[in-house]
Amino acid sequence: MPSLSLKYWNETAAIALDRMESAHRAVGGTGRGRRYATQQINQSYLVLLSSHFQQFCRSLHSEAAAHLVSAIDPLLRPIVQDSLTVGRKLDQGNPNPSNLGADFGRLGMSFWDDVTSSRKRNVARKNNLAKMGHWRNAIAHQDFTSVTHVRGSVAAPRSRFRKFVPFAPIAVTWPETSTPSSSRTSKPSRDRMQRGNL
Amino acid sequence: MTVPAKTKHRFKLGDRVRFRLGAHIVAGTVVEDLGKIGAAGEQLVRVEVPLDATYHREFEISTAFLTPAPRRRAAA
Repeated sequence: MPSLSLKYWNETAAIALDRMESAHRAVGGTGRGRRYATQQINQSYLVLLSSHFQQFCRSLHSEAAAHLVSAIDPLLRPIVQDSLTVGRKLDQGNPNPSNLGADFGRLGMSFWDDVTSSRKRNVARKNNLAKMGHWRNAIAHQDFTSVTHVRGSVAAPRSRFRKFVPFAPIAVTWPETSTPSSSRTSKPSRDRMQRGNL
Repeated sequence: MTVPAKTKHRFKLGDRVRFRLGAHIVAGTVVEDLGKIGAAGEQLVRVEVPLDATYHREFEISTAFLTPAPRRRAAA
């Protein structure tokens, strides 16, 4: 059974990000040359991408925790589910490699070992994800000191935005349950994003 | 051991709910609808529970474990 969080990420979140790409094209065109007017759109785009990815990661974590506890004694389920999700780093912090590893590690995974061993390219993707976190913080706090030490520019590298988080489509599936829900549509609420650290 | 009956009730933001937490029944308010992402497509919600006058805890829980609770009376 495929993950419903992944379905939402691939469909609804992708549409929102595509709209931001369209806004960029509308303002800056597609020709060559630097366009300073698009810089704010680029920065908004990166923060939006980070927040949608954070929503996806939290939703996936909740989904995984719910599946883990579904097999245990019903009286214990709320207690165990709470212990797996309370104080989650993804509820407060960015979806950076460290926070992802810590939160999914609570579910008994060696998260980054599993992700990087599943595909060679995921090592570079993990590094890109860390860079996205640095850029997101630089933009949100308008403090480019740390990232410009690395990148030498205050312009976020828009052409590489989508490369920051492409490892999401790795196989995220759950074992089939007795009542499959593949036809059901899921819509994690938008207020999750508002509850994030934007 | 009693398995909670599957509820068809769809809870939404602001609903007052009750659920069993260990030996106690606690009441709280739905503060977030996570969607039908639980096992077998169960709806998951986040419920804020005031454990005392100053300390509130949020629980992520399947709606299968929730029952509606009466709304608090507004202060006069």
